[in-house]
Amino acid sequence: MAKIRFHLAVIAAKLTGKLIRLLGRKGSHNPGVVALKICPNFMDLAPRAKLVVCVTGTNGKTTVSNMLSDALEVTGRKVVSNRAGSNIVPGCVTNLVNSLTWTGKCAVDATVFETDERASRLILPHLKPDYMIVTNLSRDTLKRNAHTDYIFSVINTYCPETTKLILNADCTCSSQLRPGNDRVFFGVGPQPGDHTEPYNLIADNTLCPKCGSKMRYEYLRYNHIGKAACPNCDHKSYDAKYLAKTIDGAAGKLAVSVDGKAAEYKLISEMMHNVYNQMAILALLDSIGTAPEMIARVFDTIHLPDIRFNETKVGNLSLVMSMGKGQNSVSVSRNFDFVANEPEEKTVILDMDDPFDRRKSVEYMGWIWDVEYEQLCRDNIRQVLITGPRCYDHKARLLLAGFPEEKILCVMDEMEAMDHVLLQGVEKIYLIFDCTTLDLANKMKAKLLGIMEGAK
Amino acid sequence: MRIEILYSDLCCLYGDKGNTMFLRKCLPEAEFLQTGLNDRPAFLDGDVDLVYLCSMSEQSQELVLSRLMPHKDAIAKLAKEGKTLFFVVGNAMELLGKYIQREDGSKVEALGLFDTHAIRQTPNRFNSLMKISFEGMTLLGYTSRFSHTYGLTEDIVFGHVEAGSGENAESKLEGIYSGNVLATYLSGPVLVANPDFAHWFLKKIGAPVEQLPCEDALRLAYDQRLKDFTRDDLEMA
Repeated sequence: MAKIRFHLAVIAAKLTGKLIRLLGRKGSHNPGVVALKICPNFMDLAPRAKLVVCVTGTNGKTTVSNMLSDALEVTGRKVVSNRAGSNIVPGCVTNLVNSLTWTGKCAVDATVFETDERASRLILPHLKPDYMIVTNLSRDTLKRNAHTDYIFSVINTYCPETTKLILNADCTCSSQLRPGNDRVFFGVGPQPGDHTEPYNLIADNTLCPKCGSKMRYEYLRYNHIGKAACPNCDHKSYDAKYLAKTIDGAAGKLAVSVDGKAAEYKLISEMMHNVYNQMAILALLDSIGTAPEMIARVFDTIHLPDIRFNETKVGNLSLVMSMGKGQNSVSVSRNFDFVANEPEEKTVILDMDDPFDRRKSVEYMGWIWDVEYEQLCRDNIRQVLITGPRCYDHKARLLLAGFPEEKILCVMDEMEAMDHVLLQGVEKIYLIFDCTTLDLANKMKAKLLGIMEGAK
Repeated sequence: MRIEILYSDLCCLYGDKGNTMFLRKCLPEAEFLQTGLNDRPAFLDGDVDLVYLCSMSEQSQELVLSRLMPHKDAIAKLAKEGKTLFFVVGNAMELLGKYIQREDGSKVEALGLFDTHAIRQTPNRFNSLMKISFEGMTLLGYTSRFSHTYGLTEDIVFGHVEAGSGENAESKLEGIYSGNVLATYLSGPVLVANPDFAHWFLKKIGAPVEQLPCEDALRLAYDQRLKDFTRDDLEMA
C-alpha cells in the first residue's frame, strides 16, 4: 500500500509541477504539498541519489546551495536542487520529486537541499543527508527563528548521527554542533583589518559555552565570527582543515590550505561572507574526493547567483541591486558594511519592508534597532531614500546613528520613491532590498533604469 | 545618574539595545554600567538609579537565574524600597515570578518577587501584536515568545490590553508595575516605539526632557504604526 501511495504521489506531484509551470510560475512548493498529501512519508520512501547534501545556516545558505549545485554539475554530475524557491518541507519534497522519474526511480547523481534551519527538524531525520553544510548561525527573524539557542538545539537534536557535518570553525555557535558526528571545519585565517574585540552592535555567542566567561579572540571578523578561546577553561575554536589564507581581490585569487597543503583557486568574491561560502564549497568538494584540478575548474566556472547581487550601468551611473534579509539585522548590517565601504559617491535606497507582514499585520520594528546604521554615516553617501510603511522607524534609527537629516528622504510608496532618487553627483545607486520583495524590487529597478536613461 | 545594564552579552535580543542606545542620547551625563554574567551586579552595593534587564533565550534565563538567585532576598528588598527602578523587558519578566515551568513539566525556581509563574511551550512560538493602555497612553508593540505568564492581578499590573494578548493568550493584563519594578512582555525598543511613554519614563527616573532625540521621526513612526494597528483586516497574532 505504501508503495502504491508513493508512486501515485510521484505522478500527481509531477503533473502538478507541469501544470504550475504552464501557468508561468516556478512550482517549487505545491508539488511537494500534493506529494505529502497522498504519501505523508514521501521523504522516507523516495530513492536516494548517490550524494545527498543539505545546506543550512542563518546567512549564505541560498548562495552556497546554488553555487554548490553548479559546482557538482561542473564535476559531471546530474544534479537537482531547490534553487528555485521553497526551502521548507514542501520545497524539499518538490526537490525530491524532481530527482525522480515518473516511475519513481532516482534519475540524478546528487540532490542539494537548501534547508530552512527551523524546518530542519521536519526534514533532516527523513532525508538523512550524507553531508550537511552549516554556513553559520546568528540572530534572525524574531517571529520565526526566535534566537540562536533555539535554532542550534533544533539542528543539534534532529541531525542524524550518520550525517557528516561541514562546519564553520569561525562561527562560535554552529561550530559546536553535534560533536559526536563526523565533522570537518572550514574557516578564514587572519586577515588585514581583523579585530580582536567584539565591535558590532550585535555580538551573540561571545561567552564561553562551558563557563560563561567572555571569550578572547585571536581574530574577530564581524559579529561573533572569528577564532576564539576561553581565558578560564579549555574551550576554544576548532582548527579549520580548509583554511583561506590570502584573499587577493586585485588578482582574483584565493590562497588556501587544505589539511596543511597549500593551493590556490580563483576567488569568487572578495566579500568576506562569500569567502566563507567558497570555503564551505571547497570543503564539500574535497570531502567527496574531488581532485584539486577539478576543484580549480569548478571555481573557474561558478559565480554568485545574479539574483542576490547585480549591477547595471547606464552611462556613467550604475544601479546595484543588493539583496538583504529583512528582519535579519546581521544580514542587513553586512550589506551596509559592504555598501558603505565602496569608494564611490552614492545614493542608498532601502526597500526592506516585508510584504507578508504588510498584508494583515504590522512589521515588528525592533529589528531595525539591531542594524548598524552607523555604517552609513559616510560623506560619500549623498542620500538615503527609505521606502515602505516603517520608513520613519528606519529614519529615527538613522538619525540616532548620527546621519544628517537633510540627506534622508522618506517616501512610503516604493514605486513613487523612484521619482525622488538623487542622481546628480553620484556614481552608484544601491538598492538594498529584502529577499521577499524581489518582484517589487525588480519593478523599482525597471522604473529607475528608465529614469536613469532619460537623465543620461 | 547610574544605569546598570544586566548581562547584555546574553540579554539583548530583539532590538533591546534600542532602549539603552536611546537612553544614552537622552541622558548624556549618565553613567552606564555593563554587568557581565560572571560579575557581581552593581545595584547590590547601592547607588544605581535604573537596572535594565531584557529578553533572552530560555537557556539564558536559567543561566541568569543561577547568578541572581543567591541575591534573591536583596533583590526583593530593593524591589520594594529604595530608589533603584528595575526596568524589565520581554521574557525577562518571567524571572520575577515564582517559577518557570519547562516543556517536560520540571520547574526552575525564579526570584519570587510576585505570585506569578511562566509555562514554556517550545517549539510553539507565540507571536502577537500588542496595543496596551497605561496611564492614559496607548503603547504599541509586539511580543514573540515560547512561554506565557499566569497569575497577574490588578494590583500589580502594568497595562491593560486593548488589542492583542497580555500575559497569556487569554489574558488582558500585561506586565507589572509595582513598587520599584516596571516589567513588560513587550519586546525590544519600547521607549523609542512609544514617545509618550518615553517622556513618562524619563520623568519617572527623575530626568525629564523637553524634547526627545529625533522626536519628530519617532512620532511620525508611532502615528503610522497606530494607523496600521487600526486596520480592519489586521490579524493580531
